[in-house]
Amino acid sequence: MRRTWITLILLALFILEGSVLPWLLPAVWQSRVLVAPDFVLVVILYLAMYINRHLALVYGLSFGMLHDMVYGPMLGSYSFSMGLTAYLIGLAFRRPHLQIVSSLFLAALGDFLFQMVHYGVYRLFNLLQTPFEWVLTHAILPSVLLNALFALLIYVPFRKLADRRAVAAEDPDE
Amino acid sequence: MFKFLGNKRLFILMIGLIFFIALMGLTLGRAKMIWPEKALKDTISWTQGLFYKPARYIAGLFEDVRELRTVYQENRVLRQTLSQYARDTALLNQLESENKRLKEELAFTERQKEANHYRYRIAQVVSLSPDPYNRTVTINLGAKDGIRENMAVVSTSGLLGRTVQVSDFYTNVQLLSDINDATNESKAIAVTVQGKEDSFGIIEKFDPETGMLVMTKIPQTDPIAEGDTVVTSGLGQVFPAGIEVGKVVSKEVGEFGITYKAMIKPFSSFEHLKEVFVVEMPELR
Repeated sequence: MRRTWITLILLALFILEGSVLPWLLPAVWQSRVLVAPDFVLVVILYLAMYINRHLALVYGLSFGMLHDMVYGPMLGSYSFSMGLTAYLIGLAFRRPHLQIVSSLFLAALGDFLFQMVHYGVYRLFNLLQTPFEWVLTHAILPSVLLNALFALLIYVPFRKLADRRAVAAEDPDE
Repeated sequence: MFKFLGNKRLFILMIGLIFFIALMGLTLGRAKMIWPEKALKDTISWTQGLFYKPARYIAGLFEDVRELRTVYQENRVLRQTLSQYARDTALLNQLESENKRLKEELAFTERQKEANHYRYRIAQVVSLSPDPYNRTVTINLGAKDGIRENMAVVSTSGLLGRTVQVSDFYTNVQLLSDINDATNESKAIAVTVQGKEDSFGIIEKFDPETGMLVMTKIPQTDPIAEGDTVVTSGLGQVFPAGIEVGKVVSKEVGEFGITYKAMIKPFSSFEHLKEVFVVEMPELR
């Protein structure tokens, strides 16, 4: 039941990321600075932190694969990076009682890790040759900031959902 | 060593890594999509199309208010251009009829006559990839409308990109801002200069740091100069001839000192896209 809701919310975010976000972000953020909204990933990272890393892994792999099928030049790049990031964050930092600052920091860290893996994969397959220093300051760090902002936005509603679930079921997944 | 491998988690990670690297390598640069992929692509793109248009109108409203001040200036320039255009059209009609008459006298075949007759198909943008290094644009024309891979896509101001993956009702477009000379993923574009058609060069990469296209392999004796308008030459047989690409900003000696390279500022902007045109070339059989 809950999982249906999570899937629907993630799907809605995925659709909005490609259709509405390009219009909300200023044109300069899409040319001079390359800001990438990874809102699906932020929600998956929260799932990894508060609920269960295996669930997050499955969501990361499947929504990554969805991205690859819809936009990608190849299958598996988003799937791999999202799944790996979600699992690693869940493995290292799964604490159901994280405070707001630390969870924001972890969301930003996860997004940073994801962007690094993503850039690494593209460099490995020679899909881009932009030097790392430029990408770090013009693409990765601005994206991490935007996604941390989104993480702040959804922190309270997500926390409420996760806490209610923990009280109701005393954490049945682990 | 055995203990290291015995670590189940690490083992699964290794298997995952091998699996994904193999998957990425195998699917990189494929043009054909399998049917579940096509169905998924069409469904998602259709849903995104529902949101893209309203978002565009709302964002457009704010942009209109901001641009109100420049409209007067723009209007004046446009009026001047229009009178120029009327004169050019008269000349063009005359030349066209003369050209037609000459072609008939020289007994051109029907196919030869049609070779430069391009059709522009209008398409609406339905979504834009959030991936910062690969900003794939999806448009609402697909295989059912006769779209194939490697067709040129233009905006009202100039060349925009080419179609890469075609599903039944939607098509992915690779923008010029993602082309790169190291991969088979992108095609180089043979270009020339408007008014100096013996000039030659190839655009094969985009430099995101400066936002300009890099035109290479320009011969030393080439007449290209700063401020020239660069158009496609059609020599590559992928892009049709005569589509405006951009303006030459600078010209310098290339990497090996044998040929020149020029930096080109593209005419089209690659963000906040609304309508684009797919150029249909007559079949080259």
